[in-house]
Amino acid sequence: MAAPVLKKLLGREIRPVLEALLARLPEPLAILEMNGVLLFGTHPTQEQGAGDPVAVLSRGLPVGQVVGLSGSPWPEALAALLAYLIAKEGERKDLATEVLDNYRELHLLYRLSEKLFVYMEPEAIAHTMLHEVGPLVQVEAGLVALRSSPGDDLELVASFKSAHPLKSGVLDPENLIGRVIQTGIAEIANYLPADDFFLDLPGRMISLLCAPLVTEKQKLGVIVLVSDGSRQFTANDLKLVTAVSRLTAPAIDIAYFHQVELEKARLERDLQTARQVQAGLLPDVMPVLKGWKVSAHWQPAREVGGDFYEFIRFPDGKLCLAIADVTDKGVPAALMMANTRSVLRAVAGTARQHKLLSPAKLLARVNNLLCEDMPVKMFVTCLLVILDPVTGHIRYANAGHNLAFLRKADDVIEMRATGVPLGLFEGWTYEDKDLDIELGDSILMYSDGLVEAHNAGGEMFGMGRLRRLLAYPQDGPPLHGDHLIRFLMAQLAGFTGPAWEQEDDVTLVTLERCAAGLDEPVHPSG
Amino acid sequence: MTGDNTKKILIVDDEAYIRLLIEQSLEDLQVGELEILHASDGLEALGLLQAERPDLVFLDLMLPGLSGFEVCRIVKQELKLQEIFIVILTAKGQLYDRQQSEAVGADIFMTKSFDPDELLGLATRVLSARSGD
Repeated sequence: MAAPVLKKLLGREIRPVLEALLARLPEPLAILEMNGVLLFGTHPTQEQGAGDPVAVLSRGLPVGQVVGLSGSPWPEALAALLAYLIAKEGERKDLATEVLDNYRELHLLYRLSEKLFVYMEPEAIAHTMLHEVGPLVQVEAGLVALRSSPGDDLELVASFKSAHPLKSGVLDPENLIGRVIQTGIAEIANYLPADDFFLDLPGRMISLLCAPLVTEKQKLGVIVLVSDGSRQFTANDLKLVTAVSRLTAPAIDIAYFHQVELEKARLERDLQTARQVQAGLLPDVMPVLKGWKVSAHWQPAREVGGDFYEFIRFPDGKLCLAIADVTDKGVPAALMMANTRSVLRAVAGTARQHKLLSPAKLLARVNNLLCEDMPVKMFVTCLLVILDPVTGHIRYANAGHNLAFLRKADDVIEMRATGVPLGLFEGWTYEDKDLDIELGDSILMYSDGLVEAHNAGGEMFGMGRLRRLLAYPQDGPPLHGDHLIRFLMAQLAGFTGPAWEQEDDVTLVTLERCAAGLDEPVHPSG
Repeated sequence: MTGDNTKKILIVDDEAYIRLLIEQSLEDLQVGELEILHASDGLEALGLLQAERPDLVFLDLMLPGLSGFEVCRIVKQELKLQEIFIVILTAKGQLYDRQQSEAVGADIFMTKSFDPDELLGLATRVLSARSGD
């Protein structure tokens, strides 16, 4: 039995009018559903003699019937009127549906403008967008493919309903999807063989709507909506999805930017931690020796550096002072610095049993151990000084490091000693040199970050300048220890200027023979 | 005639096309027997509210005669018909309108143009909850 539809098709406003009309007619007339249920009016009695029912048509199909007296013209006339009213009511509802569809599209854009910028993951943005657009455009499937940076391959990051795998090559510029990304213009293509695009839809015909995800700066990816071949995408679909893609692209772009910033912040935190760890590897107090004063300063060019200094006390009272500089800067240099320091301390710790209490032998042993693991194009310069604090005698050896200066009351002397840096040639031997430090004398060990610093004019700080600064002044007492270090760092700052971006790590160590030693440990500067 | 299980929705708006749009939005409502009533002014609405006790009302604010605020206040505060779920659906969008709707006891405040799917979802939830009573 046919479902009752006539009442609904007629609409609510016309019902009282029909009832009033039928009540005033001079003869019985009935409007019935197709299943015979009386809607309005009065069915003629058997005695009155009912005529044949006249069908009420809607879009060519019978949706109800009118029954009057046999031979009366009213049933035909009323059926025609009802058909007209149904058509008009249909037009009203079609118009309302159209308006509601526009409302839906408008609200989709409202919602997306609220939702898309809440997420900070491109995948979540793509997923949200697809699951808002997909149902509204009534697609069979949808996908978003993105590239995280220019030049990368597109990757499927979100899908709606079924994740049909794309065929290889569909993103080529001559292909529809590839062309949309390339041109930045959305396109629809109805009734295409699915085989051309997807691996798992053999023999099917589909419609495609592709919209680019592009910003002013870059082509991020593409939205692909797939429909059964029988559903053709319209210009209105194209406009809507284009608007959606223009909302989505900046949100994805911001999410990528946010991810990069997060990663940068994480690296920054890691580097800060690394700096603390590295600073912890340096001696936290200066050695205390009666009649001697030791000072040091360490200033890496970046968060972490390749310079270090170290003090190692031997059981016989002698003190080993070391300054070293790993090639390069930053994390690689810092890792090698930690390794070199460990090797040096280990070698020095066993020096007595290996009869290595000579800086040259210590360097040779350290060199051999470092050669085993030293990366290509990396090496370490190192200057070792072993001081006998009782006699003032020092023995030193140099593995390619900047020459130290001995400061005397009337002269500044380069402590000459040569040798190749550590980690380059296994089996290399170094040369011990000897000197006596007299009362009032001091030595300065430093790294190339000081003497090879450049000012804005490209001029280098240089050994000559350092040497002149170290000479005892004619007027007033000479500077020693921490005062000397502060003086030299101030000179460096004055030379390079306020806009200087430190080029290399700067490390300074001073050893001064004074009349009386310090009783309390001294913390290094820097 | 409607049965005991028939749900009733009253749509109150002086614009016939808005009533049509709201009714059309509810076309796919799956709640069994449903009767949709229309009123085009506040007094007519009040009469239907008392006589028909609809489950759900979509109520415009700017109505001839009696405003939507007044209708809502009378229903909720004077007649104490708390069980009638009133949705204010208005083109007015000031904070005052929202606050006043709450003050007179409206259950939800929505603005035009409305999202048809949101309207349908709301009606489904409200009427389904009634079925479960």
